[in-house]
Amino acid sequence: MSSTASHLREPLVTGNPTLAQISDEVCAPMERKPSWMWWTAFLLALSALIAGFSAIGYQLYNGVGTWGLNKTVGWGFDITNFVFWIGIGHAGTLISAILFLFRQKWRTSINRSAEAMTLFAVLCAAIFPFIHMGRPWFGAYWIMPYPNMRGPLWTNFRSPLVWDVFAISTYFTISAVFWFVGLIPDLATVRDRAKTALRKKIYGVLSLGWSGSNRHWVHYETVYMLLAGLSTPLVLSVHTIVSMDFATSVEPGWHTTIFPPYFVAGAIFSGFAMVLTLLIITRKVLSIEHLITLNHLENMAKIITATGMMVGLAYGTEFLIAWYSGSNYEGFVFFSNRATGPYAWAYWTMISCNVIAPQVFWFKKARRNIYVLFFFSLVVNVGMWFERFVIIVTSLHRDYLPSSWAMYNPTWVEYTTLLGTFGLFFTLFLLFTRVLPVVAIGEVKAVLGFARRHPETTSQPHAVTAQPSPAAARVEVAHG
Amino acid sequence: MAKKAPKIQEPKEIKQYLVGVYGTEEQILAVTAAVVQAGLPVHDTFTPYAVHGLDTAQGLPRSKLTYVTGIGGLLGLLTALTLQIYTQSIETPFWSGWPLNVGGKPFMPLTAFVPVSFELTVLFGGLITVGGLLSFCGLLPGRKPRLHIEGVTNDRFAIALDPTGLHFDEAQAKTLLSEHGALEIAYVEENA
Amino acid sequence: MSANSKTATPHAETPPAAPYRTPARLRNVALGLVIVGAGLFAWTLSSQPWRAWANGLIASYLFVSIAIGATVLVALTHVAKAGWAVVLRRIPEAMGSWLPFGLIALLAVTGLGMHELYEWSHPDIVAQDELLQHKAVLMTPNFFLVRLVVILGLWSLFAWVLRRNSVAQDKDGDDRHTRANVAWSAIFLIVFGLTVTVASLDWLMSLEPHWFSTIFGVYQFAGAFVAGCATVTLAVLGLRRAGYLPQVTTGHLHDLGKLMFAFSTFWAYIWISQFLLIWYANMPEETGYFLMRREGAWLALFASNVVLNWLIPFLTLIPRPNKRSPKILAIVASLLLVGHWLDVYLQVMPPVSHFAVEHGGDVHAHGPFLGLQELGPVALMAGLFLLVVSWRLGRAALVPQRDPYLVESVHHQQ
Repeated sequence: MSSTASHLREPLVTGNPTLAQISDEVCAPMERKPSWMWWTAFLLALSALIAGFSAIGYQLYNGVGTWGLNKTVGWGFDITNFVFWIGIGHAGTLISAILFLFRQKWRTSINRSAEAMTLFAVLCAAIFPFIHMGRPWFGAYWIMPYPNMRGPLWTNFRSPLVWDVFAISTYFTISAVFWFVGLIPDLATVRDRAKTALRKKIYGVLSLGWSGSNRHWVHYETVYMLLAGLSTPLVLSVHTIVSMDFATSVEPGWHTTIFPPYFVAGAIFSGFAMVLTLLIITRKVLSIEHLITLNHLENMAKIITATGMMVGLAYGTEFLIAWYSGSNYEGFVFFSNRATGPYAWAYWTMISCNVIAPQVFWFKKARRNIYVLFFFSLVVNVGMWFERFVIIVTSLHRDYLPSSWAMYNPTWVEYTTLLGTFGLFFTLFLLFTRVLPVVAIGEVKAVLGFARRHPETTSQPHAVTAQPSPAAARVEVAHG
Repeated sequence: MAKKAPKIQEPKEIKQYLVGVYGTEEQILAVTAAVVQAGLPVHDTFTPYAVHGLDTAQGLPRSKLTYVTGIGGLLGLLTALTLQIYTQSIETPFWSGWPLNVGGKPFMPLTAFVPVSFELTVLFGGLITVGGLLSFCGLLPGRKPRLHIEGVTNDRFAIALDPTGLHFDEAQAKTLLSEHGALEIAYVEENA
Repeated sequence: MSANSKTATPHAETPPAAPYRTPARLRNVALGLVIVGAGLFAWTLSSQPWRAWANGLIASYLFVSIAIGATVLVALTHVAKAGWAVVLRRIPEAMGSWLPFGLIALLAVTGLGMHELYEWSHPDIVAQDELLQHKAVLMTPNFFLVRLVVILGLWSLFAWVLRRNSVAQDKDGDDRHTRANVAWSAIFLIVFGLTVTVASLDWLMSLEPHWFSTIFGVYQFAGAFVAGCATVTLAVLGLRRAGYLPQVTTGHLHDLGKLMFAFSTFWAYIWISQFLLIWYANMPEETGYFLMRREGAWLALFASNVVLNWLIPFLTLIPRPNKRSPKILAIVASLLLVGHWLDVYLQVMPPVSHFAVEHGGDVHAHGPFLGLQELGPVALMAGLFLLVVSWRLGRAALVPQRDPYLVESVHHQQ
């Protein structure tokens, strides 16, 4: 296994753990009582969640008028948060699908938690279009195509908002299924080591009777590959269609053809920042630093830099073409409003956080410093939230008709709702770390030997093993 | 695995398999190849993760699930196109959707149908693939493993031979299994 | 596993060097292409000069895009540490050596044919056009040519550096060359991202100086990258047939197939993004681009573009055995190259011929045209490209000899 890896490769897992140690270490957090740190975090997240849902209840009871929206700015925090959360989700699918197809083996330690993050982020995102309907109990009626009582009147499939319903629900479904398929063998591991009957029962039902059979593994691996193949264009399509919510319009600053790839790059950028934030905490709290190593964090920092550059390139291209087009409206939006208008502070926050800040990751020292990584991952999260805010609000608040220009001031209801989605996100993630293996046990075991310095690959005679693995020792015991 | 080694029993009427348990990936690969070469009937192998090359050692064919995905995707595409074209474009005396003029766009704008068609292709393809996986492997909520071998979901690698299979020779099998460093050799009963 | 018994260091597994010599037949074919192509070009130049220049631009851009696509592939394999690709890397490296020649070709065509190609190069037209006056800061003949030289100069430089480091490693086997190439590649990709936006705006988008699209640079990159991968695939298959590159396994072919599959789909994604958004918003300043390409017989070519560049490759490359079959890969790669030509043709010819009707007074300029005039410059460039690339291939070992990732590449299989 290892002899075909280049000597430049770093081992993916440090400390040379055995297979059993990996099962133990990943399952340990699920099997012990939660720590006080977990409880603190959980109670904080839960309070935020309760506050947010109270705000949503207040808004649903009183109407969308409790938000700061007005006739001119009809989309504000709601759609900003929606796009922000959907974007966060993209990193999970990128890690689980695209990096899998590109055989980036380092993904194995982080894919499970990143996929979980995807699901929770999409849930958070889905809240916003839903509550934006004002009376969401009619929602299904308006957006889902089914024979109904309005005669044969159907949803309008030419509307990007309907595309979005399909995109988001497909994305959530396929991500959930992909995640669950990945979990099956690990759930069987948890089942087989369960100490109590209840645990055994629950994980027994969830693991669907997985036996580790190689006949099943053959199908399983094929399905994993197929789902990765399906998820790759799917993840591109989701933010593409989100971008089309804006770009099919004739609104200056929204209608621009680079939106689809630019939104996708931005989504990956923000998603990786969120994965980095979460994993830096998770690996510390669960003490799995040798499974999610500095190399993993460094690789994520590199992807953040790369996607940050793409986003920066898109910002630049928009400005270049806005000037080149000679269109007064385009020129106004970019030069007179975004960069220098009343929301310029938001615009320059975005530029500093998304384009300038990630440049720090050119330095290896920065990429391997936990504190620097953590700080800049937060900065990027802030920057990407502001990107959506800038796109949505600055285009709307001053469009073609100067007499209806207006400013947008979000209310406490909107701030609390945003806080609430963070509460929901962290509550779900914290629960996840308690009940499911946060690292893909089976996949990490499969890459355990990757690039490990076996004596065989050096010039030493292979009979001399530096460290006999416990498994090998047991074989000898069994024979002795 | 501090488990008591089950006693070696003779095959009974309930389906039993002769199981050899190993501690490393290299051993299971070697023993599987050796057993297959000796012509002994391999029922299956069991591993904690997908071992690269074990499928060929065991002589398993490639999974046919790719075709299932293809059919599923096609089904999704057809569903999406039918739904969209029917509801937005069809107007005949006998059978009509509800074509509406929205923004002067054509009634059958295939360009605008691309996103939903793509999404349903992926949705159907993915769900049907996973359905295929569950049915191909007989996995369902509440199922127990057919053949439960201690430790194969943790750090053990096992090979199960079928004593009722063609050319089964217990003595030869046991020798071969232990030659490759088996930690345990035992008959294991299948779950009903 | 089986390789565990090996006691050798990875470097000792270096495959034997197989020096590549351009076969006489290839050289003759290439020279033939050059002579015939040059003849056809000269003939067109005397009868329909605008058409000669349009096709000159198509042909020179076509091979520049192939060469830069290949160079991007090299850079991507460096930054992604894609070990599998090492055995084939010399081919895209050699293709990158075309860039300085592409610089000369593109400079000659745009410099000499500027007034036939670019509306904005006519001061009398600019004087009556407010929008063109607005753009005149950027769009002046001299500044345009300076930008062209700078951009292609930078690309040539990076391609040269990446290849030089790679070849230097053959001698000393030092890992620092690999590290240097990772760094150079990262810088190159940034430079490329910035320059490709400007380059595509200059060379192609400004053919219709009133039209604009922000995705245009990404679209050009997608096309160039697919064409680069397709050409690398054809070269690998050709070399293998001639007995070179025994280290290339079916696994490598499979990966090349996957690359073409994925990026042909990426191209289609960018294509539909641009089309759908412009179609949907239906704003007059943008839709002209597509109207011009969908009128009359152009529609057939417009549709063929998507069929050749995406639909056929996509459907053909879905089944796994097809991605592993040299024959099918060769057919798909050739189709992709024809498709790429058509893609470039569709971007250049409609505006240039319209301009020839309206300004040049050539009443026969209503397209589309598919004749020997189209073939000439492409044959000329193809011949030169073959000569240069096969000469460069022979100048270094065909497989990087001591690359630290070589061990992964020669053991690549799936």
